[in-house]
Amino acid sequence: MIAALNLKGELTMASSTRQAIACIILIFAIVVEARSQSGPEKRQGATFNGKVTIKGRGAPGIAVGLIRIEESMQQPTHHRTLTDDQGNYKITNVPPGKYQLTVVAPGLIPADVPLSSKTFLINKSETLDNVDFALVRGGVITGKVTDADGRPLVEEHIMVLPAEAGPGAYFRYTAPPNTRTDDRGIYRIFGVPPGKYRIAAGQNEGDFGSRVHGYRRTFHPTATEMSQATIIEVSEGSEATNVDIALADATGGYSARGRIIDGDTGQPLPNISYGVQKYITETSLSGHSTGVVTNKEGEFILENLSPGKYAVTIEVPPNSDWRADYVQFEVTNEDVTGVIVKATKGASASGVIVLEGTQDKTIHERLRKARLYAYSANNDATRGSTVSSTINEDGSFRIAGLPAGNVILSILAHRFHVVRIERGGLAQPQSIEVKEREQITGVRLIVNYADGAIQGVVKVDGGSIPANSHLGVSLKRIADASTQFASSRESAQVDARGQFFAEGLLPGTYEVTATYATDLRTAWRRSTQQVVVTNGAVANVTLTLDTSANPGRP
Amino acid sequence: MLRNLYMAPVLLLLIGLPVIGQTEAAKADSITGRVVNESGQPLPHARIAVSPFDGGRAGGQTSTDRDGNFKVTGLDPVPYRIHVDVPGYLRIGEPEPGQPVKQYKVGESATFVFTKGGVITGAVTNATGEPVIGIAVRARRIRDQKDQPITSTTYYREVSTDDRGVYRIYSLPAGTYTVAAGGASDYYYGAFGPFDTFVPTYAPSSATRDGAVEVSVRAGEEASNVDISFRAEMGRTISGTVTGPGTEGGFTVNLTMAGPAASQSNFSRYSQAGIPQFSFQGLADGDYYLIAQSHLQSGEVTLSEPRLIRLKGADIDDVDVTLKTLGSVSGRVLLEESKVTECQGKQPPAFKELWISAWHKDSEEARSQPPFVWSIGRPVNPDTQGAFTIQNLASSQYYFAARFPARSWYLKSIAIAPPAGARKPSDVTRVWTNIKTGDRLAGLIVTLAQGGASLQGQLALGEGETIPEKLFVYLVPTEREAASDPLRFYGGEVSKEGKISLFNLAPGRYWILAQQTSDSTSVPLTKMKLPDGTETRAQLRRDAEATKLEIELKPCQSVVDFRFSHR
Repeated sequence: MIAALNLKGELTMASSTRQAIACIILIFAIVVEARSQSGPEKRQGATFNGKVTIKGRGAPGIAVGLIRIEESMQQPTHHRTLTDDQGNYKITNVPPGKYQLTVVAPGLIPADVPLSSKTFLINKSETLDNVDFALVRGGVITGKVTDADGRPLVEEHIMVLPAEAGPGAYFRYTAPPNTRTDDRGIYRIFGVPPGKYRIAAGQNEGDFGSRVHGYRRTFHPTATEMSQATIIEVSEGSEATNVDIALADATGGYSARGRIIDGDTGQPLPNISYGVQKYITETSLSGHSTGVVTNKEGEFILENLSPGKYAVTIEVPPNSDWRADYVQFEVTNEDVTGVIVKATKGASASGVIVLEGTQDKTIHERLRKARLYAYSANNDATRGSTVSSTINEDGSFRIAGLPAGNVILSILAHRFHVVRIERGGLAQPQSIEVKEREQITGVRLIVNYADGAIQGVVKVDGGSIPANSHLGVSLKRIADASTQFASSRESAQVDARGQFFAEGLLPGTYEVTATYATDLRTAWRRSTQQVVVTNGAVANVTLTLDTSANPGRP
Repeated sequence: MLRNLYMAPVLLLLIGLPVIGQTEAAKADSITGRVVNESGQPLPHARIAVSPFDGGRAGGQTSTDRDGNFKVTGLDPVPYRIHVDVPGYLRIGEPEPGQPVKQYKVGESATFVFTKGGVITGAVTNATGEPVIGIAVRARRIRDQKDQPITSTTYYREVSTDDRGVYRIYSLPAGTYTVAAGGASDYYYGAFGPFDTFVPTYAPSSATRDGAVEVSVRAGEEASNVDISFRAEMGRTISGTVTGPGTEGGFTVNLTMAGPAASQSNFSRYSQAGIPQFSFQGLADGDYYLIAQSHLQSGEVTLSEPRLIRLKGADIDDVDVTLKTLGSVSGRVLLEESKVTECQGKQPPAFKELWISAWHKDSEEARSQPPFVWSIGRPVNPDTQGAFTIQNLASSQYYFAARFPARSWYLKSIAIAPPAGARKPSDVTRVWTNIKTGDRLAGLIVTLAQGGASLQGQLALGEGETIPEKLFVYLVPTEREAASDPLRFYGGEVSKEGKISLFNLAPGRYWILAQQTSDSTSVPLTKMKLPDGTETRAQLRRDAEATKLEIELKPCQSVVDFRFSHR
């Protein structure tokens, strides 16, 4: 398990890690090097130099390396090294790409929790010096998890919940998601940042059905209410022992039975997948696919339900015509029977997807492999789940199983955006209006591939950026007639030298704004410029901030 | 969490065994059961998953109650498999990978017995005696509980040390293990481990397998103080790129040390979708086989040609491999009915109960490939029309086999449609069939004939004699024209009670030979069925003829209480 200090200064968990180990990865730098000039320096690449210290002394043998970030995935690279006897490291020959510079030092945590992290935007010929990491030993929390009868519980998941916000609202610690008890019921979490925590095990809030394994969420030592939890205080290098949890048995265990039928004929529908959601609050749902299908009689069974309000509906494969509204039911203190889900043939929309703005064959091919998704614009949870369809070789599509009302169509593939919808030659508002069981034809979905980029630099008073300042850059695309849906706002990461880079942008005119402050509460200064972005190119911009000008609010 | 990896050793027939129903109060649409430990104590909160054998039908998940009982309802009248998971425990009688999986039907009740697995624990320290924190520690099973070496199966579990350098690996099946710290690991998925560029150090402090201590664990027992002094020797890297069908959807790259240490040095890398690169760090110098694999949505598997990589003194960064579609063979099963009176009314085999399999030729080259290569071309059931396709056959020579439960039928012939110009289908029981990457062989005809006989018998013992171990009985055809027909040779091992049962026998005359063997690898049972088993068949025939014990089996005849003697 990897804990990572991300760019907002939050300590979060890297995704899809599989193992339980409390260790810290500090990400100090994002290297973005996508389209820089080619030339003789190309082979040389970038160089990083720095030092890893523990309490001011050089820490030898610490692993430092680059993780490549590509299409939102992380891939470790060969650019790895260990610190020498003095704690120094050097990484060379870094080719173009987007990276996180990472220290892997299990049990150690950053000495100073930064309000915002340092990022670096470099060109490949650059050398970055003094990219240093100051570490201290984190705390340890250990204890035993048992059931109400005192039997140890094996592979029980442990949750570490901050009992108060850390220094600054940015800092938040999450225990490694796979921290579990061993065969004796014992757990040991290390590398915990100083702070106050509540420790819990048992099922998650909102868990039900197959996810339930019979224990309520219980806080150390025996509290089922968070307010009753004993708070554990962790300081640098401390060890909190006997943080035991005796798990309370789950309440509930009720079942709900029902049938999925054809709403028109009343005939049972066998082999239909279904999903169920539990209302945590009136508007917040926790749900999952059950992974099973209805039997020959169209019957479904949901088990291990705790008291509460639920909603069940069908789950259909892509291109299916079937749809159903969510059917709500409530579990109080007995099994529920007779829940009827009526599935009907929904409305459909068919037409053609037109990719504009690129001749690149591989991008056209990627679009053919993508899926088209439709969901109700009414944001009405009772209207059933999202439906999808495949895209035909010739760009035509038919998406079915649609509810009546306003339906939003989107392409769920990296960098593809639906920028315009036409129906019968007329531009549509953000969504298309669908009547009950209407079969709409002749829809044109105009899609763009976002492959533009902006590279820029912010200059404060014509010099370097002072330490402990807050500098942000936001980008806002100004909508135009040809891409009516595509107005968007996003932020770009700015490094310690005021450089930033944003990629995957739709072509168009952008308003680029830098905001700057030395004090979060007052004295914000801003600078804005318009930049024209085209596909496959990098637009450059320089923003100048003058701190002598009148400050304003962010 | 512990990670383990099973790889099935060779092509194994998966046979669904019929289950004898137990009578307990169970509703018509439910399966009930109980999970206990070896002394009968209930195990509550065991996770239960009931899923249909053929997929695509109603199933269910639940967990056991305080009394260890579970019940899954809303099921269809079809066979189900049940998966039970009790954290920290191992199932007694869990089928080995590749062994038949038990089937359950609605109304049945099942009991699962679990025992606590073994534990290996210790600490990892560096040269100065300080704890090594966050290092991956891997236990590999080298021998099973009967002390039989595990050669073709790779089985390991991996954990990481805590802030005191302590590791604890539990849920281990009984057997003998080696334990190593550092080196290529699965532990830090998506990032990198602090010690995965180092060569693994085997407990107590060896850079090679030869110096590794062998740790024996038994169920529920703990091997403690298995400490490791980490050597911190930098390893080498093998990396490269994968191309070909299946690259985009994600692939696995498998790296196996060549030679006898293969099952001890076997690593896998899983690609991240869209990134065609792979990399293995922390490798010791040596010879490795590298092979990439991908599963296509069609059910087909693509493989790269195994690549031998000699790692010596430097990283190798340019290993480019190409995934290719494997071979397949398709055909149909023909049923020939008999007019013999004794056979009238006997049920023909149902196609869905029939298993057709392809077996590769054992050779030095075949053994040099990772074992999984030979387990992906799984046996298949024909469809309702008797048609079948065996997919995912790696380049090799193959012979074919058919298994079915209908006792009054026998396997008469296996032939392949003739090449253009030729008339007769060619017999593939006496010659190996070449199948190469990308081949699509068609026209394999498996003929089953009615008239199968059976022979059940008892070993006759002399005064004071005991039933010998590893005693095998063979039926050898007496007819000259059948002298080397692999389909006419039958055999089986005599049970501890001295019983022998042979079914699906072709009618005809046979000599009966009972032969003891001391070396299990030299049993002619398999070799006599091979296309090139001519020598084995000739030897068996010479030995059998000498016994002068002859029997004629008539179509659909069922011989019971056959008495035979040893020697």
